[in-house]
Amino acid sequence: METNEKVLNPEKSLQIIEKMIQRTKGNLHDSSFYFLLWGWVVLIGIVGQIIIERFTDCTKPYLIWLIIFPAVIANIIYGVRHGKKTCVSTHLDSLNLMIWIAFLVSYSIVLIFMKKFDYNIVPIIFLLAGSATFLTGIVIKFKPLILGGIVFWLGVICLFLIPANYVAFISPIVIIFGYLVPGYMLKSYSKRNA
Amino acid sequence: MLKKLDPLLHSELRLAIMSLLISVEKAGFTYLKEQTEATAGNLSVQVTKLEDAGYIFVKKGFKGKIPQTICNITKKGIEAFEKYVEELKDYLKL
Repeated sequence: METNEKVLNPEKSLQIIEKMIQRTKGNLHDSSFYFLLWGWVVLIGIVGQIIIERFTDCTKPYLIWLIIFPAVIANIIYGVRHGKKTCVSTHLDSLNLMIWIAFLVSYSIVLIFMKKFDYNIVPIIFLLAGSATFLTGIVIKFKPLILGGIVFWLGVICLFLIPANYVAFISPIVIIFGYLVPGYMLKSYSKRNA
Repeated sequence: MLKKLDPLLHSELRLAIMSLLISVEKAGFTYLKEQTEATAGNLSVQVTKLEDAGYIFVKKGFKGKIPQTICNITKKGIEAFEKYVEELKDYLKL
């Protein structure tokens, strides 16, 4: 597109429109960092709480979840830095951001009032995280994330149905296959398509 | 009788800019330059024409110490683009 006033015919106009719109596809930003960050944070939280409960005399094992605060700071710093580097933002990027803001607001409310839930917030968090992961998978058309969301939902059903002795094993499995595996797959996919 | 296509949009580079901006929420000057493969000077001239017509909004700022220009399409721009596409369909009898 060297000259500024090239003569156009309608066919050529249509071609330009199609070509440019096509170029904006695939502009969705790599969000694997967030899945990996939160996957590891939640996994550490769950496994840490189990270990503290079973192997120590600590009366407040749920305090392990305070690791969320440094994770939030890391999330914000990464988000701001990444945002500054980006020179294009799609409507789907905004939609994806809104999905996770909705998750964060819901999550914060549950966390603040977790005493009201007798500290049994894992199924609620999983339902929220599963919904957000599923929706992100739909928005960016990435099947492993869609399946990751379904893993969260199945995990919650298992939490309610299986014997209490096995419940402790469910949550780490859900995080690994709901967040971490799709997160690493997304990272690999984004690298290949960079 | 067929209407005359909007002369502001019926230009290769301006149409390319508008087609990109209608598909994204906002885009930087560098992104537009990469995608349209235009020269910075030419792109700048065409962006200004679209801005003067009220078809796009241009925000100039800084990313750190580097100047940054962000463009996004306006409501008037969307309407003009949609009208242009409709008229294009009439021409092509789609």
